[in-house]
Amino acid sequence: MPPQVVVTGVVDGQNYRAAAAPNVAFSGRNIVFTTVTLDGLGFENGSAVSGEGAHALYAQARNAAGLEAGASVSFTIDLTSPTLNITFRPSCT
Amino acid sequence: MTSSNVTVVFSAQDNFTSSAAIVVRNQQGQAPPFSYAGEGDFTVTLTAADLAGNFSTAAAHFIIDRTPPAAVGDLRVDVSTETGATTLTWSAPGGDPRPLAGYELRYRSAQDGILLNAANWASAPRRPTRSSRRRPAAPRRSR
Repeated sequence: MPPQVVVTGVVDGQNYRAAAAPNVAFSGRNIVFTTVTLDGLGFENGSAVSGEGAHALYAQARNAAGLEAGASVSFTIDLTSPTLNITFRPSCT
Repeated sequence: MTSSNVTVVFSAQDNFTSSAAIVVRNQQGQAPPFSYAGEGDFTVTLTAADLAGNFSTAAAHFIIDRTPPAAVGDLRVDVSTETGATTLTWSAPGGDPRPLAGYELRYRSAQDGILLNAANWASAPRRPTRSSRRRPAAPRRSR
């Protein structure tokens, strides 16, 4: 049976208006290798992600039998409010 | 100020949420279109929220006034026996909570043989009155 990889703290496709703290949990027997990356770089599990923009979290595990499992989550940190302009115009009575 | 219905229009942009996905509501929580037909003084506040929950607000103020001012009831015509100049005098009609925008003078020549009335008002010649536009609320005098 391959290992299990569960990501919490962020949801795939979700936008956040504050820092997010992704956390990856690995489970299964005889796990010999795990890795977690954020935007292609090493990521300290559970640390806060505050940089505004789109992010991609990837986690992978492999057990002694050579079975692998991975999970990827894309999310966006959006700290900026939308711009809104309004005006009014007469319409037909 | 307008006597027509009013539509409040908006544009919303965000760095990570498409304009179509931005949620815009008025202060009653209603979705667009935002149309107003009732007479009155309106302040409409809209809120735009992006997918992350960031939001902005903006407001527009307008007045819908469909009530005409009261008719002038004391128009007086004086013709100078010395100069032949005609002087029109009247009082500003009351009863309208909004300020008057101006007066419009129209006339018919006695040679037409037609009295000026509501039915032929639109086709009657106008009397240019620059002064009536400048000071619409005070009693008028035109020569």
